[in-house]
Amino acid sequence: MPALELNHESVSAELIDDEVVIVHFGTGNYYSLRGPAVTLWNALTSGVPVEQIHESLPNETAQQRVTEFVNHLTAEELLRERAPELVPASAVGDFQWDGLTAADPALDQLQVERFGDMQMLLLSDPIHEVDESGWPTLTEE
Amino acid sequence: MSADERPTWSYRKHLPELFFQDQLRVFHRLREERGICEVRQYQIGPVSFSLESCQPGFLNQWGRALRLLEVESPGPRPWRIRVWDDEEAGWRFQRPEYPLNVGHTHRLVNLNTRTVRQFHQDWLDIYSGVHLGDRTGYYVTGGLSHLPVFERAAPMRPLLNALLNSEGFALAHAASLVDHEGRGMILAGGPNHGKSTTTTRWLAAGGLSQGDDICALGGADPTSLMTCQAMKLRPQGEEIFPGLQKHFHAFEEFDERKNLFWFEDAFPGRHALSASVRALLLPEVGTGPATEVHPATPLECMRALVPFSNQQIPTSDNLSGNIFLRFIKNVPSFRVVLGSDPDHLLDVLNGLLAGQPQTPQL
Repeated sequence: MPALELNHESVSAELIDDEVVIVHFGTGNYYSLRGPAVTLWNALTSGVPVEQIHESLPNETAQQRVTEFVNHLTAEELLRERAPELVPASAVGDFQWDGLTAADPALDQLQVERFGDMQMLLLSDPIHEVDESGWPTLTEE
Repeated sequence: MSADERPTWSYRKHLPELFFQDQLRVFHRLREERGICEVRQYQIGPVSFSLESCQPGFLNQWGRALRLLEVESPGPRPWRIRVWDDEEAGWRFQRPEYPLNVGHTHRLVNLNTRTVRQFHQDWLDIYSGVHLGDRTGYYVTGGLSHLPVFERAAPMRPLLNALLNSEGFALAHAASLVDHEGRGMILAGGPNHGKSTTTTRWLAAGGLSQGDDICALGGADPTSLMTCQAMKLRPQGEEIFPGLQKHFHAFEEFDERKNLFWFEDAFPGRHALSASVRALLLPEVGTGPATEVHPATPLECMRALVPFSNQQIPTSDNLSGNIFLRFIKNVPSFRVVLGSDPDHLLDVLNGLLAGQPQTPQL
């Protein structure tokens, strides 16, 4: 799996205290990450490749959980494949990935809490896709 | 034709810019024809902008709402916004017939780039846009005379928000309470959460404010800015603040009667153009006399601040969202269950401003 990055155009995210709050302005959903999910989010958005995260995990079960977590984040379009020119190490910047600590493999608590109760207020632009031919042709859906 | 000789003009790349410049050409023609241009200068924190019109008296429609922001000379790097009334000036640009927009306020589909932001508010037939590169903008109305005078500045919000975003601020659906030392608190939340009543109580007790509806938030040091001087109260406010009734202008909004009053009429000199924000408060109406303070979680803050702001000031990007989340990160936040005892409420609010988020004894 390639290195990932935040879907900057549509997503706002911030680590506040010990919680990552994420808002997707394209879908109107918002999310909360806590515990080991915060550590992984910071690593992923800093450009640490998923393979490198896997290498730091103690067993296949933990790797599977991380894979599911990453798949969930990409399926929700919160993260996307990092641009090739930013891969690999240059994108990591100052972030120091030390792997998950012995206490962290409470990876069974690894979850993405999703909320959709504010969709109507957050969705301000339902038409934002255009056909390949460009403006003003809209996509069929 | 060799590859080097092929035109570099790109439909997608250049159309937004062409559309933008075509709007401005209407203004330039008007100015040439009429030989006049009225200008007013405004300042909202770091954002300095002028409204320029070739139609005599046209700027007056925003006069009252924006009066407290008016300045005599522009600040550094001012924006120039050209405005005109489409009906009076004559629309010289073919309006598209396809469905550009749905709903309240939207960007013009695919007519945005990193430097050009354009909006169409179909419910008022208003087109507006800003060019972030050369700091110009246009604002074309289909005539705002049918709107109540205090609502005529509201449609300008997407445009002002684009200017504020460029300086790290975002328009928020929030009220503010400010003390005489320039320290402030923000009240955020949905309708019927007590923002207006609390703000009016604060003002009636001698405090300052930036209004009860829309203010700008942001800055490296969390700051709030005044953006409009209209305030609103529901009918129950008539009983709570009988002394203000002479300033009320009743109006209907979404089948609900409200009272509007101008800040400068009811509380002259008590506006704060800028404040250093010390707390974000999420009010809710309680049932007892005492006001209670509880810590608020980041998610609660996000729910109170972002969706309602997004609904009031829809944007074509997530810049405001980024600014709001950073603001929440940098400001202590509390849920405040509002009690009916006004003196106790003021004790709590003063304690919060002083950095003492306890619930005092009633």
